[in-house]
Amino acid sequence: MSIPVRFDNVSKSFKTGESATALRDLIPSLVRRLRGADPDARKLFWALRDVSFEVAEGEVLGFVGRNGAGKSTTLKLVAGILRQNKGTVEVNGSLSALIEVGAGFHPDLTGRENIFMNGAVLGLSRRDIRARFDDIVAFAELEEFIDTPVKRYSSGMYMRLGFAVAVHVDPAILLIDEVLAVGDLAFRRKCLERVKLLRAAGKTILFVSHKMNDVRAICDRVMYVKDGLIHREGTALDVTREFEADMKRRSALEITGAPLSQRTDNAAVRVMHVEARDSSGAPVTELHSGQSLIIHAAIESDIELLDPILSVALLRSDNLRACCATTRVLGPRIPRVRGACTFEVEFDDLDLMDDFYAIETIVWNAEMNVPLAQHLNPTIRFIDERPPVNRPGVFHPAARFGAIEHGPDLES
Amino acid sequence: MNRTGIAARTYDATLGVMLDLVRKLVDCRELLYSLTIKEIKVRYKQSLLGIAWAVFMPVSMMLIFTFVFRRIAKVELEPLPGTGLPPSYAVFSYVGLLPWNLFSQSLTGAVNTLVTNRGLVAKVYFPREVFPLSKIFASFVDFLVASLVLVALMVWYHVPVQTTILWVPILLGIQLSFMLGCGLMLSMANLFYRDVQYIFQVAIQLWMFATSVAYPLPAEAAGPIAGPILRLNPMTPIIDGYRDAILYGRMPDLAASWGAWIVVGLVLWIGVLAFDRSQYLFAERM
Ligand SMILES: Nc1ncnc2c1ncn2[C@@H]1O[C@H](COP(=O)(O)OP(=O)(O)O)[C@@H](O)[C@H]1O
Ligand SMILES: [Mg+2]
Repeated sequence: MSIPVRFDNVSKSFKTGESATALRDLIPSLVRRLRGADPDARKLFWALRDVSFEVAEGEVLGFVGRNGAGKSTTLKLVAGILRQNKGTVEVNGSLSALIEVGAGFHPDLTGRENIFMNGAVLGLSRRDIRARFDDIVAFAELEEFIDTPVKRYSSGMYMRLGFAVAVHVDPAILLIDEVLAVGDLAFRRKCLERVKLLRAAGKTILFVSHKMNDVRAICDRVMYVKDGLIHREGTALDVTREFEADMKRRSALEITGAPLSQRTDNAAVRVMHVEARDSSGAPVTELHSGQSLIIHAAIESDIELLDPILSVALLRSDNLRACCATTRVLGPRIPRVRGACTFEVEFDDLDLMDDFYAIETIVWNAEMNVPLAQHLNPTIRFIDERPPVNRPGVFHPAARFGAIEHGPDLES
Repeated sequence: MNRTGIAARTYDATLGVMLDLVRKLVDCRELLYSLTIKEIKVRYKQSLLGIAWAVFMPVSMMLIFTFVFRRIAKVELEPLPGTGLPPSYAVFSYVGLLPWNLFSQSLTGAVNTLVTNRGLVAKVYFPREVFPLSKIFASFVDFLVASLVLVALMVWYHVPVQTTILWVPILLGIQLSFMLGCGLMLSMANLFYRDVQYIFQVAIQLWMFATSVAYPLPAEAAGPIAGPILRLNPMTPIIDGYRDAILYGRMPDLAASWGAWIVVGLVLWIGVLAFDRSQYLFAERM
């Protein structure tokens, strides 16, 4: 039994920068090149670098990664749309590819005509397509529009038709690249169900998505692609979690890197230093959900502050203010501050969701309407090892479910 | 690589590119059929005249040529062997216009076919030769429709059908090979350099006047510089051949135009080879 897809040290480069796309530009650029003025202004950009992997028969392999990581390039190499510069790409079996939206339709033709053309592109004879035509149309739910030119279709309808054709041509290898993103929720569910059926039927599937729940639902194995390399490879849950954590870390860094933290640098009141510590007082960058957190801060004031208010808040990576502790609510009252001083605030049993949180420290005036000094750093991660939840909320409440009391229906 | 399935086969040119091309086309016949039908449908959906367009173009050109070259320029035609009278200019020019229109229409279609089908080229793999080829096939359907007018003209002007008409398929074969070579080169060139199609539009007009479409064009008369160049244009001996076979009832003198046939062979071979070698670049240059 042969391996459906194998990459062996595959590299793919693109030329970046302006290329001559017109003959009238070509001649001046050739002249420049001849005179040695501009040997080759265009640089090579490596979209994939020495990538090796194998997909087993009947396996669903997921790809996650930021935009531009090289996921589509990988799938296009498998599909034969692009050719690698180095290494070998081996593909065994009939293949059908859904690469980005709008799988090879001609805008002027109707849905019906496009099904036939698309089927031919994917290697089916007219008789084969005719036999599957009704199933395709029913799956795409486009009965009413099947004789409308596809240029009048919405992007969702486009995708439905493309997906319906691709799954009905019965390929041994199916490539799905982000196409589900444009469908409505009900249709996405249906597509995912279909993909699961294909998986059960032993098809090999390469699946790219930004929806981690979808990836977890259908992939056996996931590769995290980063800057043209396979950054990590493993079970769907592990890899998607790591990817999500990376994404959150990035956006947390973007928050703390914001100009906010520098805003009051030269002011009379300054937050000098903020540190996160665990309950034993040791500095930390990570905590487990449910542990206590101590924030230690040093402030300095050149002027005498009367009745200042201090606040410390945790900003989640998506900019949500998860919680805020302030002396205005919690006390104590601080009559006056001058020169350097330090303070600590202790958060008990912080059962926050797995995410990155930036610590925001603010010194306020007595009315708490003018921030005198603001500081947004450092960032701390809360690690939650409990199973992920679909709609998580902000924190895990200290809650208990009682026993279920059944109604009369179950008793009979 | 070993993709199976019609759409996803790769060809390693072990048998030579020409044989490979034949294999590709056999593999892709369904696709070729679908794309050709698509071409025809799209063309007729977009124009009001529909299928009549296929006839309208050569007929209107024939009328204009008849007016210009017969009434105003008074072009001299070689007399027919039997009667000693020149053939009707209408039939003479239509026999030239028919293959010329097939040629120019196919290439006009082929030149931007890869660019206009970028949705397919960038998203699915299959031998990309089917794009220019489907344009040629679609134009061929127009050609067949427009040929009915030739039949009508021959009946009207009492042009007898002679056995030399059997040369027509051979000439058509040469013409289609030349068109395939040109079509592959042009579609590829226009994908890399998008102004090729504009240059082509001008060039094809000039080319028509450098071909014996509207008038006989003996290369000997063109002088020592232009003559040899005109001799290398395969379209002139091809069109002269159709006239010999259909109007004059004699065997086309193929041997005399050996230079032009070398051009046909080179264009076909280079076109097929260059297209085959660079088609893996098409998707990323979209
Ligand atoms: N045809 C092309 N020409 C130049 N650069 C390209 C081309 N296709 C992709 N790239 C570059 O290659 C990188 C990887 O792209 P891609 O595989 O599409 O990423 P993604 O992981 O988002 O699907 C990107 O930086 C992109 O800009
Ligand atoms: Mg992509």
